[in-house]
Amino acid sequence: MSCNNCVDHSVYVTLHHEKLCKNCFIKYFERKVHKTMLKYKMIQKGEKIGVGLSGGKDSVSCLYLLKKFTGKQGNEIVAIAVDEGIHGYRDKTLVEAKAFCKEQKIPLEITSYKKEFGFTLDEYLRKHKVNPCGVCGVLRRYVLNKAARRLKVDKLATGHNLDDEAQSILMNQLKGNIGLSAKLGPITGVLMHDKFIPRLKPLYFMTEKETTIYSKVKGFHVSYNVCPNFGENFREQVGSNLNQLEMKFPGTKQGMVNSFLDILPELRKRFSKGQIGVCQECGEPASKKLCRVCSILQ
Amino acid sequence: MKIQELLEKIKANPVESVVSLNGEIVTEDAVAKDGDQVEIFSVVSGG
Repeated sequence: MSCNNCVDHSVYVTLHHEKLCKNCFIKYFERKVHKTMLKYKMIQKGEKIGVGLSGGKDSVSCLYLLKKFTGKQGNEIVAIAVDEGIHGYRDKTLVEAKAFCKEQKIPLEITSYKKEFGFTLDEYLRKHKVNPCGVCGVLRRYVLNKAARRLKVDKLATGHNLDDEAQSILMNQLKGNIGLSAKLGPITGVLMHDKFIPRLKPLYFMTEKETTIYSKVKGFHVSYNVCPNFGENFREQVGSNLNQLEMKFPGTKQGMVNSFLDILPELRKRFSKGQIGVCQECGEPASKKLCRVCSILQ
Repeated sequence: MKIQELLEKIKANPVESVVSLNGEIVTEDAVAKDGDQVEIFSVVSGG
């Protein structure tokens, strides 16, 4: 089937039934990401931006577009990769990450669990029977935040997309953790702390399918491998169910995230009471005596 | 056969799939003929 705007074959059909060829899809995708960045005033002139880079489609697309959109206003961009120490997975995605940064002339800082904690994730999981994604997510956010601060970045962008956000909203709702949802949104955080680098999600309104198509039609050499620790966990189940709904009722995820954004200011008001202190053990931001990382490591 | 029918046959959710036909990304209404090379990529990154 041909593109609505030209004669080339279509690669994507939007929610509004618009068929787009490769070039028109690239324009659609980039315009939507740029609009999100402008709408939420994500980046100001002169700010230094760190981008969490895994070497996968989302973070690579995010990094590429941030460089493209901030080039003229002279923002300094630095990529930050975290090597968790997942044999056969992260070592491969880091090869892609390094190659991409070299090609795009973007400085890349690689930090690791081994350097920060003295162990790799593989070593930790051999000794502890835990939900790998739960532990890894906490450790990765901690390491990323510390690296971003060390590099003196003003904001830290990640490749989180619409699917990730819809999953998080529903997971918090189902688990009765509505307070955690106050930390979501295109610019995260409900309580500020000078040791906590604000997070941006430029791909906030792009679906996982759109990001996959974008990275493929742009010819990015990215890793499409799935982490070996990713299994039938809660997030995977919620994501799969949301995609079943999306197949039957297109627009479900978009509608859910839009509704969430309507109530987010109220949520933030309600959960902005209290203070972020510092962890007694490591001195990093924490809402309790110990931060989540130190609680896990004890 | 239409790509949409192919995805149904293998019980793949089109929301989670990107399909390439002879190396080009296509939409679900594209038709694959005998001898065509079809690749199906999962969009779920998980990690």
